[in-house]
Amino acid sequence: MGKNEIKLRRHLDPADILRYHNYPDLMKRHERSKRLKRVVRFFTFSLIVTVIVLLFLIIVSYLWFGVKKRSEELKERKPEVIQSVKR
Amino acid sequence: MSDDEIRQEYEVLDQSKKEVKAFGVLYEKYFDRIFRFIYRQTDDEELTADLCSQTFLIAMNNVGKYEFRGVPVSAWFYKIAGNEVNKYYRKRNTAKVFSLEEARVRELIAQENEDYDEERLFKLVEYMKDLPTDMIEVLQLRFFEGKEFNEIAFILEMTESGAKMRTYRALDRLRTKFNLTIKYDGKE
Repeated sequence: MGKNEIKLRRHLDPADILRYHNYPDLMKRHERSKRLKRVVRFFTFSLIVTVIVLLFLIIVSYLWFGVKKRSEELKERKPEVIQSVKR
Repeated sequence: MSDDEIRQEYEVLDQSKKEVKAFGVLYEKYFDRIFRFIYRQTDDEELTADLCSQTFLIAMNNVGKYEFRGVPVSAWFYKIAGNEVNKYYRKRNTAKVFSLEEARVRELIAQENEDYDEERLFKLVEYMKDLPTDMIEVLQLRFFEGKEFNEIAFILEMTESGAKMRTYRALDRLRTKFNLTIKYDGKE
């Protein structure tokens, strides 16, 4: 079974339709949506760049702290090695 | 519409990819038809005006993506308009309204030399209510918009043979309901 409503009506007068013609308004809306698209694209691009930079910084700092920690561990071990050699 | 006319229209559309003001020619040419097409599916002038304006805005915003596929540019507008109408009904979750020109329905019946009477007309309307939405859509495009099957196929995103099949099935259903004869092509 269909679930649509079917109506019969008179023919639409072209003058009635003419009232709704508004090309200048359409152009304005188009310009607005173009501007909005540009802004969204800019923010998306900025967001992606920020995320990439943050990830880069996190990775670099992780590696840097890792290297630093290892060198500190080595420094702590060195005296023991020297002492054992002296004995 | 001849192939040359289709090409010429496409050139206008192609031009509007560089200079969006050129789109105005197509807007003026097709506004009325798209308005009537939407109005036939809403029966509300204000809503039709909104959806029609939205249709042309979407077309304007996506003019750069349009690819020539051998059908008139208007088929693309019909496709967008149909999608906008469907989107509206999906959001509202209400029954779709088809508001048909009585004069055109009379014409279609008269074309078949049927003895026209009010009862026949109202029966037809009642039987059409039982048809699924997709069948009413093809009937609308074929008999009220006078579209070729390849255009209907493009608008409804189906194959040409699928569009023909759906139209014939819809007409067959109406025929079996009461002995009404409508020509498959809807023309004399």
